[in-house]
Amino acid sequence: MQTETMRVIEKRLAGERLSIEDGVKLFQDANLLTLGQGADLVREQMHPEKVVTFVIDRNINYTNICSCQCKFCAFYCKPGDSNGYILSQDELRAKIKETIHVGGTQLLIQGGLHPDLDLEYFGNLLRDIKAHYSIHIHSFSPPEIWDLANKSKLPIEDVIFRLKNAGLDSIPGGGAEILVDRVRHLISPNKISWQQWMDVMTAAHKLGMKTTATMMFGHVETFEERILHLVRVRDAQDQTGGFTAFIPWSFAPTNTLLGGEGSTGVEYLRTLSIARLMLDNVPNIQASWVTQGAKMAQVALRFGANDFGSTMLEENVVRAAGVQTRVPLQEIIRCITDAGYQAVQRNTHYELLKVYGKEV
Amino acid sequence: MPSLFATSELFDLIEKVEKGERLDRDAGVRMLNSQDILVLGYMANIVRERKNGNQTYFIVDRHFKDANVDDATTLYGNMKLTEEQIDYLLQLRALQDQTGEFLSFVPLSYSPKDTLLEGTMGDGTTTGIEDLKVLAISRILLDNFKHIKVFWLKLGLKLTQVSLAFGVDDFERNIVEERISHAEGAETSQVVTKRAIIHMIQKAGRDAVERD
Repeated sequence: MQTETMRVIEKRLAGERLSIEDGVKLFQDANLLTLGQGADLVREQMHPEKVVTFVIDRNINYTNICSCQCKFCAFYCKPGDSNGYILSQDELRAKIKETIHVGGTQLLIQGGLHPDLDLEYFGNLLRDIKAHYSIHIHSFSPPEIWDLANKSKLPIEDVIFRLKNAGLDSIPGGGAEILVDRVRHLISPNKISWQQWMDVMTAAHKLGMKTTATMMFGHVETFEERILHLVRVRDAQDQTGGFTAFIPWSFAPTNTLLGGEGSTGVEYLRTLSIARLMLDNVPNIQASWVTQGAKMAQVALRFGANDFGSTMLEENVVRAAGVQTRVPLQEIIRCITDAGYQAVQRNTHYELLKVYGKEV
Repeated sequence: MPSLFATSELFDLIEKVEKGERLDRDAGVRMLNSQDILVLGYMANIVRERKNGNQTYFIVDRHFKDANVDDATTLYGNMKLTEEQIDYLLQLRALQDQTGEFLSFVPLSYSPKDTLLEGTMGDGTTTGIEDLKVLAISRILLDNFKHIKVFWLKLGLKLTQVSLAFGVDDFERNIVEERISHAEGAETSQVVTKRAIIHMIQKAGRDAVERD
């Protein structure tokens, strides 16, 4: 059983691409430490520099009103709900000022599919930020961008082009869930298809924008479907080269319609390692301290991850699903240096900005 | 699988552990100073499997059992990763050779006031890699102790499950038969149900065994 695992890992270490069958085999048979060691050796081949990076940013949720009603989400309110909100321009500006004040370089602005907010609203929002602040805007996931295309009746390429001209710099990989329509129908029937998600990303890449890709696993999907997700990201990356990073995280069931047991720590590390082994053309893999906690995120640095994600001065969506973690900058730096790496602040394009020493 | 570890600075120790040879102080200090936690896990797993096969044990909290009354066969150590602690583990091993009175070793400290530390790594707490190193090194060096035990609250459920691949085979404290309060969300709660512990052990590929 483990000889088959070894064959697959050695194939990858020799620089060969893994097939769908190879990936499924790893999910079925490989033990945790073998996968971790394989992924760690690949990570070392791709990132020999003994550095682990992170970005200082803030997640700003401009609204919690969303018509999509995904069954795994604990954050949204239906349109008309009295708990719904839209941030005012003053609130938004105050949050941006705070972010810049603590050395932040990136804004991750995301909300929901709000029926009243259109392309003009977001164009104004982006132009207003760019007119007042010097900060990278890494915002709006593909479902939000499709929602604007439907409202404006414009092709998706035109919508992205207009957002880019208004100030959008790059697009985060949210809303990918599992990039297989069978799974999407079960957990988020009103959400865009996997192909539509990918169309936003490849269109953005063709306009010279970078994006990330995520995966939310540990609900109704099979191992084959997880592998198919990874292969679809890899195929698109072969065409465009526009993905900077891959970020897997596990479904958190509290306060959601979908419910269930949720995923385990071992499952997270196995999935992370397999992602590192499969995605030979995506440079960075992020550990997710927000969903896994700081201890697990640090351990993930030996299971294929080379980036600690972002400091997230503010995070509301995972918190709504019962996961409460607060990991300030000093703790991220301690996690990284204690694991034997140099902690380096980066920007959204993974350019190195500031090196942190052992003593913080 | 050892060929995957061929480039590790601890590769020579794997063969010794596989043969059942005892590791000395020098090897202990080398393990302490290595960042190679996967090799430590691999070696700890060999010792754990030899002692306990595929079985992982747990104890449910009982009313009549005061959390402050310790099982006389369990030894506790407040482990920090220092050379003195390697010496301490070797002293325990020598003592156990003479008396054989201990069943379990719990490398991490515990006090009844402890709360869930997952995600709140402030000063004075250990990191995930430190925790796994302490557990694995304890398992490798204490080859005459049957069990290496943890309190899941120290590590969080996710890392506790991962620790099963780093030498751990036993849990206790803050495990209840059924959840009494209405509080949902096992990960933020201070207790976990027996059902969730069994699920977690089985998902790690082990057989869950309740013991007293």
